[in-house]
Amino acid sequence: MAYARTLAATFAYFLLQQRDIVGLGLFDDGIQSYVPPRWRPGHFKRILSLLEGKARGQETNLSKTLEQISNLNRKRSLIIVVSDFLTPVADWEKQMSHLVAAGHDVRAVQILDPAEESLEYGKAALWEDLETGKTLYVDPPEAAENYKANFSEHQSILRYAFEQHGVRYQIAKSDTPLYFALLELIRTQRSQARAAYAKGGARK
Amino acid sequence: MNFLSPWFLAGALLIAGPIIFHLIQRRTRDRIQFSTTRFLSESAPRLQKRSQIQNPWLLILRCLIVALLAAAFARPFIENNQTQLLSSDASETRIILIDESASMQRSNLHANAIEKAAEISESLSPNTTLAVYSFAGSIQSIFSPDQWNAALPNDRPDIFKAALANREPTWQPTELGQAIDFAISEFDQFSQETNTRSKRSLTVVSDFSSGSEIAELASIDWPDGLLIDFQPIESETAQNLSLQWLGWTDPLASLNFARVATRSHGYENETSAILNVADANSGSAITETIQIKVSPDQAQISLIPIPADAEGPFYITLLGDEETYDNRIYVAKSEPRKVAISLISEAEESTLEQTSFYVEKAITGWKEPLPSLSIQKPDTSLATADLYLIDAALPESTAQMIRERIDAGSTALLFLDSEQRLPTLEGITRLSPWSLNSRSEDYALIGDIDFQHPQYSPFANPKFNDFTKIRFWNPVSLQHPSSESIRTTASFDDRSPATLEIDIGQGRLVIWQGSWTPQSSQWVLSSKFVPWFQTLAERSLNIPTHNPIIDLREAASIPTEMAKTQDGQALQDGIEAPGLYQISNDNSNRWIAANLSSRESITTPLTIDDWEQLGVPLSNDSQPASPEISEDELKALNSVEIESEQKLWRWVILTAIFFLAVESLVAIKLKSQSQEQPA
Repeated sequence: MAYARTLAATFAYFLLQQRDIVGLGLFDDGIQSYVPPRWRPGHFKRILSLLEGKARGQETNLSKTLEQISNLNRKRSLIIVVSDFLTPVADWEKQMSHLVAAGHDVRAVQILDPAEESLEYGKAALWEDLETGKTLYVDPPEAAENYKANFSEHQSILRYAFEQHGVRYQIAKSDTPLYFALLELIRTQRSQARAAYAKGGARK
Repeated sequence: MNFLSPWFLAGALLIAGPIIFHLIQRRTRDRIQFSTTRFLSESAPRLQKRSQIQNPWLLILRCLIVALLAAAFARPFIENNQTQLLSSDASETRIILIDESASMQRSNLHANAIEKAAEISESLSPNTTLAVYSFAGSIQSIFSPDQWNAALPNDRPDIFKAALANREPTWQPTELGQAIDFAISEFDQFSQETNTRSKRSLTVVSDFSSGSEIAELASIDWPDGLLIDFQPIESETAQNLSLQWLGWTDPLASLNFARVATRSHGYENETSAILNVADANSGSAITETIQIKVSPDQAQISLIPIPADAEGPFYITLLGDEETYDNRIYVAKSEPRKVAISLISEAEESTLEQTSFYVEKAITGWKEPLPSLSIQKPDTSLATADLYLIDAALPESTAQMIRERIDAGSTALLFLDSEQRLPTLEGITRLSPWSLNSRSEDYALIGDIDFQHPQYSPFANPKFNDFTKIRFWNPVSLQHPSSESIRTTASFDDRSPATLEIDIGQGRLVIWQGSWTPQSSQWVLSSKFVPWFQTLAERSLNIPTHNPIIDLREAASIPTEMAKTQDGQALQDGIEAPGLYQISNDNSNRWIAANLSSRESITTPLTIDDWEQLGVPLSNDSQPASPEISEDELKALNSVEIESEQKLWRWVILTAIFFLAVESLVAIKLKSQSQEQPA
């Protein structure tokens, strides 16, 4: 969470520095807080104060969120979606394609903890889903193999979906320095000729 | 190491519990938050690999606790040498008690009992140690374990028979309870002496008559493993008529009646009998024979007239009963004890001013003891007396003689009314200095009396203990030498002694401060005087008051040297048989009649039910239904005893508690450590 917020702040700062106007939306089961894109003194502070707010911790509803973004930004924009993208792809794939079809430059930044890839984390305990609150008794050494298979399958579907819909996709691992993610973003941005204007949507 | 309840060791299988719990990864209550559980599947609790057993020390502790608890419940004990002695061919200690009470006087009962004991001795295994005791009123050792063990096994029956050969039944009552109690203590003593635990068997050979004293058996704490084998000796007939002395109707009447009860035991029909009273010395009948009829299990009381001029002693004989051992009772008339009183005085006449006058008056009418008074001068030769009243200053030789008489058992009372008598006092007591100091008061009162003392104990009752009305004129204070033998029995209000008593040899000297005259005090006129004097006279007699008709148990307390047989022969071992005896001391001679205990006449035998009611552990020989103790049962009994002595389970439980405490500490420490680690 802290990594995602810092990353969003970093993106915002970078874009503001190059005189782009930047907005911010925080979402869980929809957009909960929103700062419209502007460029004026104090705007960055507003963005930061929004990022410092407390998360509600509701279940992620990405499809609804993407729909709301679409409604909020009629102009073509650079939309950076920062999420773990661990919800089923089929749920939000359609809304994502609508967004791209609307002419937005949509970027997906998937924040992952290394443990989420390997499950080398924790101990035999009741594991609680942060979003749904559902608990399972999980013994990591035993569950790891199955988890890894499920996880990599999800990632494949995710990657394929983004490719299909022309969404640029990058993974930001929480154990890597922030500038890696920024550099990755810049690299893809530069190769993007049509990105004359940018509007950003970010979430943790 | 052995176990009393080894099946409890199966409880050690519960060790598997801690092991399994340690192997199963605990279903934790810890919660871990994770981004999504979509890709996770629930894990089942699983066994750890051996290398992954958590907290092996804790596991070892828990296993130890379970194992120790199982061991404690199994009641461990350590077999020692003592247990080895208790195998089937191990030693046995057997005690045989042979009844030699009066009821065994019947026909051949005693001979049969001896024969039975000999039979038992022959059947014993060579490992058995035998002790034989006879019992009646007292218990005597006939054959000791040492004698038995010293003899070669083949010679034992002969030696045993020889020891029993000259035995005769006594006339004592059957103290069966006492004898069995004694035998149990002998078993214990024998075990302690030899430091062995042998099998214990007790055999009682007796007629088991209902008159036996068995009440004590109810309070005996029967030792484990002891079985009593009762060997009854049956007589040809259990029928018996008995005589019992009940007393005189009125000893002072001119025609006196002897009250006698005739009881029937075991007869099924009314029985006729004849009572015959004869003079013991001449053997001639003194009354006509009396015909009586006795109903079954009833008593017939007869009044037998005894002429006043017949002095006795007598015996009453019952005719018509087959069992003759208890058919005669002896009767002696009570004779008062005689007390000889000698008053040593210089007075010529017995006038109102003389002590002799009041002594003569005081003894008038005494029946018990019967007094005889002699008055003599101090310088004449000393008469023999039980009680000397010294109312004069004595020459040194007479004082010496008095001292000798007191040493021999006489009592002397010295009236100390003047300083002239102090040399006499010193001569008799051989103690000094004594002194008399005059007091200024007109009279003195008795201030303190030792009512515990036998001389004053008759006055201890609050009705009689008021001596304050008696005045002692012209009082003087007596100072006596400090000696432990001098006891102040009464003192005046200035704490100077009024009466002193000194034990000298077998007798005593009583010192009366003052004299027995009205000029000296109001004492001789008071109601206390005669009883006090009579108490002194009784105390001067060394023979206690005796009922002349007693049973043999009471007769046993009479010193052998004082008793003689009816025809004047000296006795060897005191009064042992029913009969008439002369009791004599220096001054008196009287008859006593010693009779058989009436309980010895109750010849109907005791039944198994009687024993069972008393909780007596009967052996299979006495009670056919009870099974014999097998070797295994014997071992088990022995194990129980050893285990109960060692009580090792207590130590095992204590060790388990210790490990439990350690386990708790370790567990608490481990938990706190795991909580410190981040999840």
